[in-house]
Amino acid sequence: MNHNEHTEPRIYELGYHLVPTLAEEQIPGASGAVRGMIERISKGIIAEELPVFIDLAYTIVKTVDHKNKRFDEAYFGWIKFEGTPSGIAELEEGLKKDENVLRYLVVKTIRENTFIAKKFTGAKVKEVEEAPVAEEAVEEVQSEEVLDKAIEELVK
Amino acid sequence: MKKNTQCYFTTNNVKLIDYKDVDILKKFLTPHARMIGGGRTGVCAKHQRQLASAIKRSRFMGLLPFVAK
Repeated sequence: MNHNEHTEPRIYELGYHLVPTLAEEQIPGASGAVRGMIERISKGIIAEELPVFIDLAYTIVKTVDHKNKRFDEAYFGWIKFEGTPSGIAELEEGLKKDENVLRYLVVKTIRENTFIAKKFTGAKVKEVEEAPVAEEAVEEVQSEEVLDKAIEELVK
Repeated sequence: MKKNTQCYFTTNNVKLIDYKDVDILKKFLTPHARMIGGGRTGVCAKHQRQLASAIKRSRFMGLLPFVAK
């Protein structure tokens, strides 16, 4: 096995929440700080979405100065970039220290766009279920007609 | 009636299931926010593994709930 393969650059994606106590004007600054951390360790940023204000599915608790703070909302943004495993460790160190970052997640991903919600708007699982059934019914009718004709020809 | 055995992600040619695709992930959760098994939804084993990771990542990031009443 090649032990050097782990040092090769890989595609990563960082998803992060910024604390909702920041004002709208402070968001570009806070997300710029996160972006700066990535630019320091990365060879290139592939895709990015700036933080947007969202309601969280549950309350996230963050300890600030030995006090638990509860957050029901946050600014969620993500950045896709090329990086190395050692760079990721460095990035995580920086994110832990950043007080504006409520929570973050670094995942391995692929260069292509993985976000399919916009591509398949209105595509439902049920529609996929129903389509093949209708086709089969038509085929059955056709095959019956073919059979009838074949039988008639045989009788003649 | 014949049961649907087509995997949703295979038919849509999805290479990697994204944890940010909350609307898609929600289709594979019960009203209590529990994951539905691949046998019930027709998702193939390869994509069911990816789907499980995506849902768990999404829960950690607060995009999906761990429990819903």
